[in-house]
Amino acid sequence: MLLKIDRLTKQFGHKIAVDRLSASLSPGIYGLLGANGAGKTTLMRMLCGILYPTSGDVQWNGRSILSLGEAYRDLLGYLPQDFGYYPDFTAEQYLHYIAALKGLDKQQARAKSHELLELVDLSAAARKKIRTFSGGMKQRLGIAQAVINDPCILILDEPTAGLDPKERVRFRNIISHLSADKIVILSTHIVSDVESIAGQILLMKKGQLLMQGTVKELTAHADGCVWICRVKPEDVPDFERRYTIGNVRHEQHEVELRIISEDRPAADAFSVEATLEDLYLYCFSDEHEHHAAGTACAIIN
Amino acid sequence: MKDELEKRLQTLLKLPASHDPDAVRHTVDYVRHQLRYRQRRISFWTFVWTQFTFIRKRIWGVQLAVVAGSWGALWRLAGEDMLEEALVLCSAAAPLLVLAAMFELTRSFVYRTAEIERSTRYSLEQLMLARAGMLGLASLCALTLLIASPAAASFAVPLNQLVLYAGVPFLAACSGCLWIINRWPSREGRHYCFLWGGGMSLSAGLMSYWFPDMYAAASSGVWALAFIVSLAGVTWEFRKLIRKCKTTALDLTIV
Repeated sequence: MLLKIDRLTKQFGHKIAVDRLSASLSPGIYGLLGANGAGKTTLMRMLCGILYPTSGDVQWNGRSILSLGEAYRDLLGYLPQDFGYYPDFTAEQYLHYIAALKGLDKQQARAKSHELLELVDLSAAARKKIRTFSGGMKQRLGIAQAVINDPCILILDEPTAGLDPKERVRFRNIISHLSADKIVILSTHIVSDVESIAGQILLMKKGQLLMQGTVKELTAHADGCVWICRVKPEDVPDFERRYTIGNVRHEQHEVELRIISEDRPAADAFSVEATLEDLYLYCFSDEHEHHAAGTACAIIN
Repeated sequence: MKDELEKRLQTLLKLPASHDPDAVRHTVDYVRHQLRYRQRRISFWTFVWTQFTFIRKRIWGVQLAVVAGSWGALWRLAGEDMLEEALVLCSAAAPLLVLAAMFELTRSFVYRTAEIERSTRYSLEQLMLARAGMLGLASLCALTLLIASPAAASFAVPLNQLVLYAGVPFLAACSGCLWIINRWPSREGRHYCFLWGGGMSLSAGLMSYWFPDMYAAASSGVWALAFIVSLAGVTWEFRKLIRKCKTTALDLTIV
């Protein structure tokens, strides 16, 4: 099973949303990380075949998904960023509706709906109208509809946006449970959502793939660029102006800063191991854009 | 040949399993993938019929209410021998049948389910065709009930003329609503459709006041021309809607 993205480009007027992106995806969980406007959603829509690329191609096991058509969509499960639903449907009705769209017969639809509502902990709310659901419940219903056809490729666009921490953890656990022998692509700008479950991270910026690898491989590039230093409270604004700050912790008479910088920010600063969030901050820091671009190019090359 | 195949299969089954875990995993994944792909799937016609069960019952309720209300009014008008008023009623009631159907047809745009529906086996285009088929059929049945009512028959108006007097506003309402949906595929479009359909219904009464000979036999040619133009309009706009579902012309502006 191989999903190959070959120099995929999408242009809207003068804006290039996805710029010659290439990647090869085999079974596993992929975290697609990037700021708002990086092109994640556009990429995911092209992977689902609902947006046609300006150029480039997406291939499933060697065949273009556009030529596969229905056969490719049969293997797909998709949860969009803006999860639409019919508010007067019950959870059960909605899953039956989606099951019909995915070609499942009544018997299969009933069995799968029952199984998935239990898995996402919505059995008690199966006969309630979706309009009465909380945000977390709607997202769980969203994941249930995405996997009702047991897809080979599961594409989830910002599935944890707006969820409280408890719901996000529950959601991550559901994804981990469902991800066996699937290609799961999970887009987010919340680093912690993918750090723990994704086998590979794809970092996107301005439509391009900055880097791809495991969390360890990626954070290795930022080693030596993350510093802890203690400063006086009155010096904090100056540091914030000059550097990318990952964390600010106020202690009794001083402030501990976690700084992302190629240069040692202060004489008493000491280097610490970089996390994925540090790398993300470094790559998406506006003040250090030219540094990040240079570093990114070096990493990709 | 069959014996040979059987012997071959028996030989293969007796072979020991591979010691390479990657190869075993690859085989299991491949077989699972093949089984999944070959799982039974419903045919397109079964899918179309299934969509009937997802159309809200209130839609049928509204259409039945329009027909029942019209029948009641026609009975009263037949009793008082008011032919023109009865014909105006038929013309005014027909666009209301379209409104109920259009509200259902546009659900994917109003509730933003179109994005998921475009990614499924039976795509948005096929879903629209199924919905339009079901709703169109039901609307035509309702229209037939409207014009074939016993009260309408008692007026002794030829059936072909009744078809024109109800069919033209019906098709004009339909083509107008489809034109609106093609430009505003959203809740806003629904509101415009409501205005258009309501306007068509009201105009039936106003037109008969401004053009007293509208329902005279001599005007049949005008009605027939209007029927052809409206039907062409419906066909044209419906094709555009289906093409819209196929392409990226939906409101997917998030980047």
